[in-house]
Amino acid sequence: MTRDLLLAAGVTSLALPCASGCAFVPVDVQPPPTQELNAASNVGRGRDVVVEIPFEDQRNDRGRCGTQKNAYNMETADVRCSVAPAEWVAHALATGLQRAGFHVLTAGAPPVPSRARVHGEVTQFFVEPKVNALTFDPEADIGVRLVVETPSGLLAERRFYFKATEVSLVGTEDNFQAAASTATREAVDGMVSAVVALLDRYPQLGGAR
Amino acid sequence: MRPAGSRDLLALPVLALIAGCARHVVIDPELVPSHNDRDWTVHHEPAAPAAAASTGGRDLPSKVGEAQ
Repeated sequence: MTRDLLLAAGVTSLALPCASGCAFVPVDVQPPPTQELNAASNVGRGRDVVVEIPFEDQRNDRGRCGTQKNAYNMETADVRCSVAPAEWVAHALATGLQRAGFHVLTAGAPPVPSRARVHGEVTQFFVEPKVNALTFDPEADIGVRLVVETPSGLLAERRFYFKATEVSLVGTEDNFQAAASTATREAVDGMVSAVVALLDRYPQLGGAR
Repeated sequence: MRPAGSRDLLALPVLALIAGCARHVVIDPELVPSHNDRDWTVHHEPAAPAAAASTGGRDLPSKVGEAQ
């Protein structure tokens, strides 16, 4: 009898944590659709901006985009990105700037003194569940260092860090995707607003079309 | 080697808890502001409007074309 109880307790203690979302196969996350990024506007006023895609990948852990865990906070499987984070973030920013009314050009555009060139590096891109007593909350962190420069002499840089949390009772693939999408949207909102604020300081920039 | 018993099954979660101190890659929410710059660091200002305009930019190719 005692043996049966011990066996039941052992099996239960192993099985219960998995009910809260432990998974042994990788989960894939993908960039959010364009229409889910920042709201369309005309704050860019048609100014030219060159965005270099992709950014540099300066993450400490470049082999994956995140991890899944069990209730013991043990890593059980990777979270993978369908698009490399350096391209994911740069492309999302380019799309965000376009939706904000900028005329976005690719890196091959000829240099123009007043034309801003945006490049950068992804310092963090990781999705990881925060394991709590009752909830299992995937968090997505995105870190970016942006550099804006023009042939006419502007050189500016800024660090950004964004975090999105999806509160949930179970860890499903959808929750990891939701966290990654929300963090991307916040990153685009923040970076686009910052680029607008910077270029608005210098009316001589970006109007070379 | 003796076969695994029920006590071994009980030991597994304990070992898991010990090993479960996995490193956290994401940061705590209260640390996010310290990873965010409040404004741009401008290392160099762009040239003044007149100077920028006088350097030509996109007009240059068409002027060259006109000269030809």
